[in-house]
Amino acid sequence: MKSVLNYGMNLLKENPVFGLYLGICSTLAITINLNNALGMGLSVIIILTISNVVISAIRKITPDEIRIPVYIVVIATLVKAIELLIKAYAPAIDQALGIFIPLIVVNCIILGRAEAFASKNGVVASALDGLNMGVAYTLSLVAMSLVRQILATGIVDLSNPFTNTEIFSITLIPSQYTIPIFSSAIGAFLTFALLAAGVSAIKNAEEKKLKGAK
Amino acid sequence: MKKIIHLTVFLALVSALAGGILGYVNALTSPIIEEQKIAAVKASLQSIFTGTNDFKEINFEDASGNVVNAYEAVGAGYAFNVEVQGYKDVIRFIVGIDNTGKIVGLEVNYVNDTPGLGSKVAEPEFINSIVGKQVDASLDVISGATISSNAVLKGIDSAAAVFGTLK
Repeated sequence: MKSVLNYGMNLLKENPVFGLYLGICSTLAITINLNNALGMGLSVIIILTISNVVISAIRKITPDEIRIPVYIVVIATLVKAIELLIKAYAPAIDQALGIFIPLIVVNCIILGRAEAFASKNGVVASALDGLNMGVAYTLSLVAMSLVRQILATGIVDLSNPFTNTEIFSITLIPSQYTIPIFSSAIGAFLTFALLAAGVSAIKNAEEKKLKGAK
Repeated sequence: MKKIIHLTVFLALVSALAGGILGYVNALTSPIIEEQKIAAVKASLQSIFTGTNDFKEINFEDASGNVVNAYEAVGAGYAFNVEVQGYKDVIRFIVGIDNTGKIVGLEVNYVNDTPGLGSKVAEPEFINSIVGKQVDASLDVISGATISSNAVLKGIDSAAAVFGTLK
């Protein structure tokens, strides 16, 4: 139980979005609904894990001078491959996320983890790091999208990206009490600020407790 | 000197490998992506050309730049996916023209102009005033929604021009 709690705390503290403030551009843009958030999150988990593994595997033969171009080639190849696969098998995600799938190439989480972790650590550790960071990123997207979708439309729904059929749809707020502004860019910034403040508050409280213990 | 060659060769190898992988994935997915593209508009195409089930995307030349895609309904006619600038946003529609040059269908898929005015271009009254006419006949605009309806008519003209080159 304690390790699960620790893991959760680490996800929060080392969270790429709300802790390290990485990859915020796509976070703001695509968190309009839960479907988009999960689609983007899964793509990033896959790309981040594979790119960490590949970059870690070639870390000993990659000359230091050209490591960044090599990382970019690896990441861009993965993203393009995933983009083609999404276009072919999950066109609904492609329609919803559009340009933000190719833009994963420049998502700083991926290059950041390649440079900070995968280039210095073993393959297994790098895979786990990629998975962890991807999950943390996905959870941040899901949190943002839940707040925004519920406030803006009053409905939470999820559909199967491969067949485009609805899995569930729950109405939480009657349509006359919704706040549509939360589906626009302003709502994205507001939600992000509130959630980031919340995460900071938790982190500060934790630090104080540690100091008090000493 | 040796160092530079080493770096160059390494990066070239990595890039070549990446290119190979992408080529493979592309070969694997491109036929499926083509199918998906057609599937997305197939419902619209079938409601326009009720008689046939055989559609394919075709290449075309368009001087106006309004026509986005062109599809051939084999044996029946052609359909054009058109995007024009409306009053405050683009208007997207699919227009079907049969082999005799008659407009057999018009389906407005996206319009974001003033509700009650520009939005009328998506309503049956306007659509029915166009469907059934020859492409070279004169078509009426909607009073009060001149800009939006004119945009659609301009788009139909572009489609008709492309249709002229295909025949």
